[in-house]
Amino acid sequence: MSNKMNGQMEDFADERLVEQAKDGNLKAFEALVERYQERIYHTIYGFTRSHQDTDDLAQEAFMYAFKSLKNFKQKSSFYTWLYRIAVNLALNFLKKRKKEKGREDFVESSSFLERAESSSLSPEGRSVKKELEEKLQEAIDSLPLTYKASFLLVAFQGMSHRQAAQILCCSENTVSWRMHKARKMLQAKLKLYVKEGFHEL
Amino acid sequence: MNCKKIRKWLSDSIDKELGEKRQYILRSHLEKCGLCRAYQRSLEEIQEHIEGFEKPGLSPEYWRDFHFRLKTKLISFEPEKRTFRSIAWQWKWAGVVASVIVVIAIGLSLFFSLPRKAAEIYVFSFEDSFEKVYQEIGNNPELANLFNLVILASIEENLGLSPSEINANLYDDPLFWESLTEEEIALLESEIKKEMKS
Amino acid sequence: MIGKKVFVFALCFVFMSVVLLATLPGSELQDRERIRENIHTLRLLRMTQALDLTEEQTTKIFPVMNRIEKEKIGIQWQIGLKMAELKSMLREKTAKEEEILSIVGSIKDLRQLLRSKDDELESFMEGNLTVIQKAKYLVFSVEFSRGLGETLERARMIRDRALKKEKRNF
Repeated sequence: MSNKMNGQMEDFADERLVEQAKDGNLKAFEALVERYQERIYHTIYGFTRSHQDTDDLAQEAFMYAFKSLKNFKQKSSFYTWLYRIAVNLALNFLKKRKKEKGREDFVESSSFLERAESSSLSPEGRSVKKELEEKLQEAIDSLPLTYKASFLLVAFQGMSHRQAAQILCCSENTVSWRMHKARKMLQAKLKLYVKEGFHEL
Repeated sequence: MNCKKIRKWLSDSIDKELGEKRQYILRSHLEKCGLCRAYQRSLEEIQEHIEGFEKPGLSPEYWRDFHFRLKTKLISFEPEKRTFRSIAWQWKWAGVVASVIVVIAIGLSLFFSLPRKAAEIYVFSFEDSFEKVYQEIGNNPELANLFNLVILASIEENLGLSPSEINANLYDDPLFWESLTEEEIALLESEIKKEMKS
Repeated sequence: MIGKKVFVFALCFVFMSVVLLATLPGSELQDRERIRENIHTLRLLRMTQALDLTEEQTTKIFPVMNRIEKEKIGIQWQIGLKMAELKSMLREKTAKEEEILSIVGSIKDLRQLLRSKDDELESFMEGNLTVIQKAKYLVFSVEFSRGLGETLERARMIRDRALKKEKRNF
């Protein structure tokens, strides 16, 4: 892809690039890929927490979008549609992985807190902040998939409830409730750290 | 005011999704309710930490490779499936397309059927040179093997070392092993063993 | 100095073998790819000598050349598959024009991609060689490609000599 073509493509709105891509213009689709590749990557990474899996799923998302262009009626923006594909792929991937590994669904139990209590909270050479972040990440990873999807899009990606609802094909109210439930769970899991850690920062 | 409802509104407030009227009610409740204030603090701190999370840094080289791999897959996806023009448009160009196909088909048949001399190798492109050499070799495994052996002999000659001597140097270097993944080490060991046996 | 250069080169040689083994479909190295790999190795070796590359240059250039070579192998593989499909279609004579056109289009695109890889390498080399080295690189490229033909001739001579010897013994 020459730099000249790149420069021209950068000026085109998504709609125009999508039309050109539908006509078989590969460069137009590549311009769309370049526009959204990082955001798609980071969105999927939030789910998988693995570079290799994220790489595979991101490639799959773009390929799927390319193959399905004829079905894209532009009722929503290309961005929303692409995100929907990426999030669905990531959720399916996690569901499959969960089945294969035989993990249990998240249950609000004391087991997490027990592990937290028994583990060393301030080991030498590691910052408290780092450890809290690890615990927070663990807690996010253990959220039920539906809550996690909303949480990652809104809290991590900074989307509005409306944008997240469009991607997840649910109502804004549903996203709002899932965010509330997710936060409630995280707060419960990190109660111990809230007492000892957070306030020290 | 119901604290359960307030906690839900606190979540909406962090997402900047709470209307002005509710924000006012929320503020008034928080002035009076210590438990809800503590809950608000913990939610805000969780959000602060999330915003402070480092995103995985990806180099330009990674994105180049990502693009390349995707492009290869996109190109392999047959053009007819990506072109969504109407059938009428396709038939309009059928005549032109048919003659182009005939010309290309004739060209390809000639290309594969005419004998090639080694001296006529096109020297400006490594790919073309390699392609022409391999066409010369054709389905002759014996010739392919001999060609390979001559190449290997040239490598040996230039290095001044035999393959086993090369391998022995590498074994001694700990940095070499550290840079490889488990899979690469297993593959490398099996290949080196095969070469040393031969 | 020379020993270290040779070591770096040998490192790339063995690593390249591992990389190719791991990346080719089904991890099976056909004769063609094995020969290509060895030619690539010889090319790197001769290029280092012809251009008198410094250690710094070799550590910079070799990984890029290996990466581009790996990418070109992938493209060649795809072209090979498409060519086989096209040849079979031409043999059968029952294929639709659209099908043939689509494969021809794919092959053209892949060949374009292959040439773009050569361009990429050229640009990279431009940025990492001295003026004299750039001139030497051009001369080397031509001579090396020509040398492949001479190598094939040598292989033919060896085979012919062996055949004559067999006939005499028989």
